Amino acid sequence: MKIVVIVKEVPDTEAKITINGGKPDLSGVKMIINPYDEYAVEEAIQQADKLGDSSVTVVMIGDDNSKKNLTNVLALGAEDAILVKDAALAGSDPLQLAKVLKAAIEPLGAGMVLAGRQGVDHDWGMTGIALAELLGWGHVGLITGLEISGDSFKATSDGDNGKMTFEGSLPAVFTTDKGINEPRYASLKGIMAAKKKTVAEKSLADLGLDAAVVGGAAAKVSFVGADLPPQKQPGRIIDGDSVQAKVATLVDALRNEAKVI
Amino acid sequence: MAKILIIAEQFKGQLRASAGELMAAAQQIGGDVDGAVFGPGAADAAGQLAGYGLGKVLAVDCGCEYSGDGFAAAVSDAVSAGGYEFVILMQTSFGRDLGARLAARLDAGWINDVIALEGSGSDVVASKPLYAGKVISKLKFNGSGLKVLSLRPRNFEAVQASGASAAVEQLGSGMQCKARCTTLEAKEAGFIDLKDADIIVSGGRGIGGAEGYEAIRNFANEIGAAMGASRAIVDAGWIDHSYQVGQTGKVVNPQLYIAAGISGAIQHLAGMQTSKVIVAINNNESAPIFKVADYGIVGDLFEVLPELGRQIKAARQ
Repeated sequence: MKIVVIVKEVPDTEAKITINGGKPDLSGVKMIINPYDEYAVEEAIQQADKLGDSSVTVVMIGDDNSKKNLTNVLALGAEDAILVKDAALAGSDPLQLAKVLKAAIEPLGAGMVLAGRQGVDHDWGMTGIALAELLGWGHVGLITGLEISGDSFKATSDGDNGKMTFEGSLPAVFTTDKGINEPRYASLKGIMAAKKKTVAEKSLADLGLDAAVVGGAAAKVSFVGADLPPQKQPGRIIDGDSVQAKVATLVDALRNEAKVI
Repeated sequence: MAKILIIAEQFKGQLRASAGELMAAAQQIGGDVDGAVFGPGAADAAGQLAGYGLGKVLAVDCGCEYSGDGFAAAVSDAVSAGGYEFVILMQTSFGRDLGARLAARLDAGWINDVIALEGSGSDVVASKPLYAGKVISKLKFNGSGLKVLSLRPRNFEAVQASGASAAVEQLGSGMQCKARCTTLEAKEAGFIDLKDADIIVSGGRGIGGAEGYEAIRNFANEIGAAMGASRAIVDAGWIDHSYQVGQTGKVVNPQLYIAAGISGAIQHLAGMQTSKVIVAINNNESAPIFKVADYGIVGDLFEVLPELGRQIKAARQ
């Protein structure tokens, strides 16, 4: 089975983000593979191993700087990669990106597509789900377990009311939650092998897409500004002669000052 | 005037109170409001939803607890034919999934996890946290097409139902769902979900090991709080990921957040810093968590938490 996994780059979760000219300033911020996508990659590789006679293709929308992170994903065990890069993509919304991904993925004849549940940058949580809709496939979001048997699947997900088990037929899209697996680290052998693997670069024209349908000018949603959240002022450390006394002062403050209990 | 559809949530026929938050956002945008509820029990919950003074309510039951493709397909014709400009959902496991699928199906704009709205009608501007709350962005929709929004729970002041009634339209029977929920293991009675909780108590490395979480559990049971965890103790395997608060876990917004033995890494703060009041308990007085806490106690959480539980309980009587 051909298994496709979608990855994207996001700012390092440890990074401090500043605002410049009403926009988040990412200059100098280290970009990493989206943490939720690491679970998707791991799941794709594990499923390919279990199914046998399968391979994993990684698809990313990025730029020239993305190749390093993409090679790191190949080092984990994916077979090859497609890097979609085109200056016209700047400012695209997640639905536009899903249309681009559809054009890149549809010709691959995949049995399933895996993606992280959301990018930890803009947290849209839409791209994988929108891709399923555009392909006419079913999807299960936020999966914490996946079993494939023939062309049917069973997937689990932590829902609002409890643990849900979903069933359906492949092809399908799954978006991975943390907890589904333990992502591996690249082995030295994997790192060496990745250098020989193919990264196919595709422009919008290569995918048969009109540049006018993507990018900020055609987006359905636009950013109009950004601010840092109001900083919480440090509060007070409660002193007291004993634990009982400190707690009594705290409970009094929570009840009479903050009025939250 | 815009036509607005609010997609409320229900479980076993009981409407969720977040319907009032959806109604508040709909009133901010302004327009004629209809409603929809999904899943087994939708018909019962539809009557309760009508009580918010809606034009009509769609009760959508495809015979399963959830199906992203099935639910979106079941309602999309009604959304198109109804001439709606806005669809509003909650940013829950249900709403984030259905909203994204429906927006893709109807080629609509999607702004999720909205914490505030300014202005009204088509020009409404939505505030949405980015980078797990390190930045608050402002977004607008372009064009006159359908706009789909999901609201972060507990950020809009809920409107109370007036007890009105409305016509209920049944949809979804016979729907072929491609990926459908076949079993649901409901949470145990009394379980308090992090996103609904007024009080949350979370544990970090300071609990010392998996068995140390018992102190968190005991406190939560004593005062009726939801339980959370830092990434460190989830990654260490001391507690399941579903408890994690922070950038790769849940974003929470309680009245009172108690961080016990949590140092306060930036990814954790991202998930809880909008809590109304933050209390930190840590034996390290230079822990960064004290910089965001309203009240701090430097001390041993295994002594402070049980005492705090006793005294809160006593204060309530």
